[in-house]
Amino acid sequence: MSNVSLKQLVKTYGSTTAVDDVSVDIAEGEFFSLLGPSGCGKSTTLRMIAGFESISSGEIELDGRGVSALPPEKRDIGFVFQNYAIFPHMNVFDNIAFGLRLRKFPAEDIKKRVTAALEQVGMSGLEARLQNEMSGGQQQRVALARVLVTEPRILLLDEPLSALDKNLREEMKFWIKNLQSNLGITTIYVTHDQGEALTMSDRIAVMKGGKIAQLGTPRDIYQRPKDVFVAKFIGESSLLQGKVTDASETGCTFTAAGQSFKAMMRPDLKVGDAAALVLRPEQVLVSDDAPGEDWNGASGTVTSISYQGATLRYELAVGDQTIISESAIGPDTPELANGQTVNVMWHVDHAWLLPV
Amino acid sequence: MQDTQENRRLWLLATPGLLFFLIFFLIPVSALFLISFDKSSTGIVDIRWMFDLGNYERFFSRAIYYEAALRSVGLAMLVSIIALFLGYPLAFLIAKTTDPARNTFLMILVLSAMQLDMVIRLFGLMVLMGDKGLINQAAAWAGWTDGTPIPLMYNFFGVVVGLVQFTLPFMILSLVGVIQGIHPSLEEAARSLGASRWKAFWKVTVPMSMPGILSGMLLVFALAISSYVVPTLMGGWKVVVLPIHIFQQISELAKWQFGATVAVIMFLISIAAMLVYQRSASRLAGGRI
Ligand SMILES: Nc1ncnc2c1ncn2[C@@H]1O[C@H](COP(=O)(O)OP(=O)(O)OP(=O)(O)O)[C@@H](O)[C@H]1O
Ligand SMILES: [Mg+2]
Repeated sequence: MSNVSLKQLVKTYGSTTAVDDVSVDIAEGEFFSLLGPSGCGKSTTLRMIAGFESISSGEIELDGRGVSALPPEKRDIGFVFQNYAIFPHMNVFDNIAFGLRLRKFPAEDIKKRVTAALEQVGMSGLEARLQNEMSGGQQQRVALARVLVTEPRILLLDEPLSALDKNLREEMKFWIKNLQSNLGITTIYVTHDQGEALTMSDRIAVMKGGKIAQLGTPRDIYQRPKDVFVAKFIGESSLLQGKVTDASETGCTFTAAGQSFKAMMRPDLKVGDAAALVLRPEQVLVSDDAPGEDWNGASGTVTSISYQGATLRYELAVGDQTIISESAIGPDTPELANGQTVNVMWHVDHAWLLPV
Repeated sequence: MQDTQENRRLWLLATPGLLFFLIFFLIPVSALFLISFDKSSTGIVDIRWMFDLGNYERFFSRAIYYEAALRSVGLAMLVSIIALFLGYPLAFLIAKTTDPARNTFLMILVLSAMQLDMVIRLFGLMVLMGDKGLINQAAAWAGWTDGTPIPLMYNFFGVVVGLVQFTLPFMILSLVGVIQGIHPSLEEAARSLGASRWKAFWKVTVPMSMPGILSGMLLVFALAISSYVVPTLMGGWKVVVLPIHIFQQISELAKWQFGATVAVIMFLISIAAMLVYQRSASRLAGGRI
């Protein structure tokens, strides 16, 4: 049984539809991300699950039971806010004890649990701190401890890292993911950062204009994007515009820039359709050698080379289109020069077409 | 060096205000303070640089004066509490109104209550609350009274109503800003941690409004204790508070020195109230103020 079920969820504000027919089942213990650009309805979806926002139509089920009639305090959900929402008039101890006191735990027990929670988030000894005496990262940890100490069924996080600086964000990303998998708590994570979603999630729903544009594992979404929007939103890619010219059981032929390539066929395309080939920079190789079997090769010209530290990045002109290649710098990395003609190669498994 | 120059410019900008404060507040109040130690003598207004505690002895040895002081303090406290209980829900409503048009409308309503001169507003209250006022007429008409009017004015009750009417907008204005400044996510966090709407209100919203509650109460206290017009018009000289004594001593008996003494005592009471406010505010706010 799934832990959280969203059934044809809709939220309208006057004439704007913030969430438009969202349906998804989230499994027990899953780390699920809602990913999308600003204003696509991620927060609204999360807030409806928490009960902060009413539902215009559809239903939300937690453990198989509809919860639209339940107020937030009856849903047994932990919510971590973008601004952490630490109560400024209470110290760290009282913040974390807040939920336990409401549940009428004995004082002894509260002390034990708060201490354990602080230890869990690496904040032992800071019980007496006030909100304005803590860094963003520390507030973040207190917010998590405050929620986890009540042992909620589901953890909801709304862009919890967006207010932190880059280094701390990287660190907290892994820390939160670890904590989550140790606890095995079902988690819904809202972010507009594709890097966060890819590293942390079991599954991702990419949202656009209130709808789910694609639902899948990070690998699915990265390697098999459903459309141009998803391909562009997740990771970097070059799109090679062309046409499906032949199809068989195993694949198809795609013609672009006057050259033919082998590509994977998808059911929503047929011969004669215009399409775009998604090429991720790290999947494109540049070489003097001819391509091997199961590889596509295009003849291209180097138009720009940039040194990135760990990688080298080339811009390559193939016909009148541009392909980006980025590869790790190794001992046998060839020295290429601007204007040089090279073979631009990618494996057939990475030749993914998008309808345009 | 940049810093001192910035500082100098700031001081320059603040100079007109500082001068005004110095000339029109500090000097008269100091003069009052000095005069209060002069020997009481009818008709003399000058500062005579004496140090005589006679006026203060007189104040604290005569019941009509120290009882007036207690009455003033009690009245001001009562009014500040009533204004809080009436004002908080209204301020909360205004603060939580997100529709800008409706918000502006409510704010204008509150501000317009402050536009008319106090005397004119009190005459309006008399029309309502006098012995032949609308309330008594209605009560008689409905048969609730046998024609003898309910005493709504020229007593303590009338003064309290008048002072609440006068101070309520100030209370609302000090609360609205503070309540608006409480981020909605704090209440939401309390809710999802298991607090009912009511619990979240008491455990988060009210404590977080404490700075506004205390500053509103202090403001109302200061306005109420120093009001002369309301106790005279609504109390008909029967509710004798400190400002009435001050007025009588100075303008009827020409005893400037004793009038000054009463004024200084009233001023000190307000200062004391302010210190109490400061300490409790800082305690309630967990050391944040
Ligand atoms: N209270 C509200 N009243 C009216 N419209 C709203 C309200 N809350 C959200 N919206 C609208 O609903 C849409 C979705 O908002 P939402 O906050 O869910 O976006 P989001 O995906 O979380 O974006 P962000 O990344 O900027 O936080 C937006 O177009 C927003 O303007
Ligand atoms: Mg959002």
